[in-house]
Amino acid sequence: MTRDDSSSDGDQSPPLVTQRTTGEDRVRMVARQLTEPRTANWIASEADWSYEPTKRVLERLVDNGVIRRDDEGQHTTYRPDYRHQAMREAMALCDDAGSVKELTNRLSEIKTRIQEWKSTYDVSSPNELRATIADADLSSDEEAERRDIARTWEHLEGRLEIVRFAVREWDFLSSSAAFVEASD
Amino acid sequence: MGVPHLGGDPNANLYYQLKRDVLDRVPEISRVEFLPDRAKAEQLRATFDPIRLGIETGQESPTLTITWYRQNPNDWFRVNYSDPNTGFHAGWHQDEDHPDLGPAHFQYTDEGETDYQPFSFEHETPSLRLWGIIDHLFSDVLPLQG
Repeated sequence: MTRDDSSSDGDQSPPLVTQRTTGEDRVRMVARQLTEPRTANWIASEADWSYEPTKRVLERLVDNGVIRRDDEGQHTTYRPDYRHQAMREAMALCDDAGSVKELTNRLSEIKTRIQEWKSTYDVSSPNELRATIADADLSSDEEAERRDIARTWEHLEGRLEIVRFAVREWDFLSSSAAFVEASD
Repeated sequence: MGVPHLGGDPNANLYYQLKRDVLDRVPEISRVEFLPDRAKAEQLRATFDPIRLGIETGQESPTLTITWYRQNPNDWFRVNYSDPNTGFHAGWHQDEDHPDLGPAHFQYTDEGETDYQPFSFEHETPSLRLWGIIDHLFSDVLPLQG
């Protein structure tokens, strides 16, 4: 039932990912989601593609500001530029929201939710909430619930940053603002 | 996981990437939504077209719900397939449950009984791992649904 089992049962059909994506698609996926600097060889292997075309795609991604190249070490390595991804996300939020008021409402909802957790559990952070799991006498379901809330809380703190940025820079990031400028 | 700086957050655009890299390229999926909304983006939910999926279990559409956080040393994720018509459920989890099965496990529930098994991935990249999950779903899991 595991991937290991299914790959040993004689089924020779290629993986779905190689049927439905190109090598270039996969290199882009891998490069954008690296969590540590990696060589072109490593990226090619992870993407199941050959070295030379992988290297060409990586250089294009460097030129476009999607990833960064480091030539300082023994081998050239690549890593994502997460500023680029944060900017794309902020632009997507502006495109999705009908107005800055709507986006501001989402911001308020996130703040309210976090404030409710602080009040309910009398803690000031997700880690403080996790600490209550050790201290309090809780059922396994209650422990799981607090772990889930702490995880969601951390996620929403990250969203708070990016939504706040999108609201603050609405005039600059929203597509309607770009249209007004372009039509001048 | 900690609260990352805006410019250094590998989670900021992750769900959009999983949607574009994987879910939007699966013709059996008819709709992809951010839950509860685009701004909070706590989960991704893909809705399958039962006809394209080749199963006819009832009126409701099966769904794949994804919760995924990049973190060190291992990402935390739960990817759950549910068919509301039959109660069939399958999950690929890399969480704090069932550490005896390794970092990740596969579980499925059919007719009220749940089975847990180890599950290993061929890739580290989240988008490629999600492709692996959908491959496993189509080739090995859906045939289990009796």
